[in-house]
Amino acid sequence: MLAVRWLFPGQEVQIETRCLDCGDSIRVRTRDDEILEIDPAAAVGYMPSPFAQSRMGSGAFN
Amino acid sequence: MNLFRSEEHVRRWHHYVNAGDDYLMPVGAWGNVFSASMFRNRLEPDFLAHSSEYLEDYRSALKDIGGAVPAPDRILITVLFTDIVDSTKMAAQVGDEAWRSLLKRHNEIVRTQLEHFRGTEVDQIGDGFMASFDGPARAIRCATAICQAMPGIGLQVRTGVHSGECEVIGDNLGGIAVHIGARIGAIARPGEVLVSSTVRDAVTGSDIQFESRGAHELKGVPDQWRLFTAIQ
Repeated sequence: MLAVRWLFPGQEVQIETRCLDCGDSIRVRTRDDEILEIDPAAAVGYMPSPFAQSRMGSGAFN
Repeated sequence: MNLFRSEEHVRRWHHYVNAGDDYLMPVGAWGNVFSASMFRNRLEPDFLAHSSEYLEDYRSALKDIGGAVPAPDRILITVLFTDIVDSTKMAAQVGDEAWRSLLKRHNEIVRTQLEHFRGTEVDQIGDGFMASFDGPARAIRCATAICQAMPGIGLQVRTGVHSGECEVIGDNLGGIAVHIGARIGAIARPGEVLVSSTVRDAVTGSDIQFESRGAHELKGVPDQWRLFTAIQ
């Protein structure tokens, strides 16, 4: 998701998505390598290991 | 990458399985890992020639910001899931007040048996319970006692028992073994104590008998699982 920033050099990019647990919004404002705002500030990214994906085998992490 | 409003949201996500080498970091930290400049570098014509260096940069970035989630605290434990059969239908039949009273009696029975068989109440899920035991035989005996007591108050429950390594998350338990236990409980018949082959094998030599219920697929869990009805 954050990777899209490279497509917009020098421009402000706003990413809006939803929490996979509760569905409430998550918003990230960024410009190049600088993160301007994260709402909520406590937002986290979780990347399961390939091992975890193969254990579940349910496509849950896709 | 999966995004959540906080670490607490990740840990309660129903697909969360911490394999020990997963990455969980603030969004800002991920911003440093997947930086715009890193992706722009990949546009260079000789990117492929330098791909191993870029991979090393990526690994280094992960390492610098704290690396992987610490290995979780895992314990071998037996989980028991109970659920009231046709609870919605029953609640509609008897009315809210009588249902609350029935639920109270149901909860008292479950908690009394958990105490008697030295189980630990982990969570209440809907009208059911999730409990843990340090021995599978006591979990089966507890489940049997609960199933046998419920008709006395006009209810029936289904129960599932599984043993496996679980992740300790505060006062709660997580991990694939918990999912398996829940799935087994969900397909148990009314009044049945349904167990995995792991549980059956673990109590070999006890006076508990089993009847095969064949191989089942458990939703979201790989492989086929041989299940057994416990008979006492």
